Amino acid sequence: MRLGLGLLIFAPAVALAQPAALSPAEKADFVARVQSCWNPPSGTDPTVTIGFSMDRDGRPDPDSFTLLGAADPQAFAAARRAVMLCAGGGYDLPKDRHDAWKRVEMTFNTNGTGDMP
Amino acid sequence: MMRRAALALLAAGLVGPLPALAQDAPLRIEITEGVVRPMPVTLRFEDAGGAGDLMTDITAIIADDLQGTGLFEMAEPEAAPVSRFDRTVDYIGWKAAGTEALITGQVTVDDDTVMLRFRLFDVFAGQPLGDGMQFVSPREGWRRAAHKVADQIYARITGETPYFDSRIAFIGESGSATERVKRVGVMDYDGAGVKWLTSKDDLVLSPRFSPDGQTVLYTSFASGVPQIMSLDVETVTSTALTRDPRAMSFAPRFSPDGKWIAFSRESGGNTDIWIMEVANPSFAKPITLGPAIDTAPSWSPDGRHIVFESDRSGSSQLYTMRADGSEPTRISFGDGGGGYGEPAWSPRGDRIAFTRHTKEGSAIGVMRPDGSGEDLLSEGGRDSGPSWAPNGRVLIFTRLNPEDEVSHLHSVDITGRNMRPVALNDAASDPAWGPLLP
Repeated sequence: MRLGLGLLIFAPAVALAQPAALSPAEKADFVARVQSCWNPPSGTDPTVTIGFSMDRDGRPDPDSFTLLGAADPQAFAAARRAVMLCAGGGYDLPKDRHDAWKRVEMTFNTNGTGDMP
Repeated sequence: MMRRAALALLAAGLVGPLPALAQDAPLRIEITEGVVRPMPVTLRFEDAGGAGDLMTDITAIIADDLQGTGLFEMAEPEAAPVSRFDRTVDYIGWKAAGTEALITGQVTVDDDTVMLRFRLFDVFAGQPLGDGMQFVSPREGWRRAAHKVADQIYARITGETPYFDSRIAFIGESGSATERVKRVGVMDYDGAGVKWLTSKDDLVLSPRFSPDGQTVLYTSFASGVPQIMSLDVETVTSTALTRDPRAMSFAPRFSPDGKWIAFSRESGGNTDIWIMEVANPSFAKPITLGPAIDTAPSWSPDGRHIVFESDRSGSSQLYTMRADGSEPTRISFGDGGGGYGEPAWSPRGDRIAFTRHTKEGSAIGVMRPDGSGEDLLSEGGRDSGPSWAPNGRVLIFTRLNPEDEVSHLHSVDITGRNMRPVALNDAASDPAWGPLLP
């Protein structure tokens, strides 16, 4: 019985500790912004996963970009350029939930674009 | 005791892993759609002495080379920062102006030489892209120097092998349709600097560069029977490699190491593919046998395989085989009332270009060496004879205008998006792209 009480305490604690996630609409807006600037390199596999950090104003840290896994260097450069190019003065993300998006892992691939090389 | 242990675990769960969840889990996003648009780049060249109008001409060539790829557009923002070759770059200002890559440079010209210096900057990374470079050439070589600069910019930004400083051999055509004059010419990749290598009296076909660019093979009808000739580009002297009056020899192609030539040989109504040794042309042997017409051989870049055209299946299709003729494998299977021909193996090895014949006409296409991934790059015309740029990303081919039956050269990139005519005043056909010049 006491163990059951312990589990009740544990469950809400997890919910409190996790950063509130972006809503699907907020995430979709972010995706739309970045993909409007992604110019996949031609003649090479554009698939790449990158990691980067953003400040509370939604501005990517230019020195934070890392390549996660293997990819063509041009794919990495194109992905990085897309994130930087479309950031402008900062992505429109909820400042009060900075913890949820201050670090981003972004995968670029052309699964959704049938005509990409 | 057990209750204490359970509580201890719960406590660990509360104070241990939970902060890690809150701090370390990144937001994971997937981007599956992009845009295809040219990258805006800005050229800022200065006259460092004696350049005059030549500076404008040089920057125009660099701009044309880059824009001609379809990957770049020249950006001339109104609110651009002042930029000098020897000063620090205002990355923030250029970024605000919308330029993604900045090229600063200097042109110095004296009586004998042209010197080009340039630096390339990645505006969004806020750093130089490679070291500054300079090219010095004889004054008359200013076009090549400009191409070299463009090659460096292209290679650094795209990561691809460049191709601007290269030459193309072709058949120049003049005269009426019934009395067509054909001669071998070479030109810069952009159509400038045409030089004729054979006379108007000799009917010629299918020029092909050697891997070092110093020799052009072609087919001559001067003896009445097509024979293969070897032409020294520097001295403009030709030597016959085949002489048998009973056999027609044509469609020659150097192996990648330049030691062998594959060609088609017709004798007694049967056409097969032969190879000859460059050092000993009299040593030639067939590598295909049989009643079918086997022709248009093209080597893989490692020299181990050859792709060719054959009608052994009843229609003209593409086949690959080992360079000794073994293991022939059909790789094209399309129908549509036509067939496939004139295959050209990409210098990168990843694609084979071909002419696709249909009831409506002919088009240029590409496929993987195993025949998969077939993709037509042109449509609705009479296109033929593709030849690869040295980097395997661009093709040049012949487009025949059905109204006046005159051919001109066009180029297209491997995506098919960037189709454009080659700026050559003469009617032309049968292009063959040479190697990148040293």
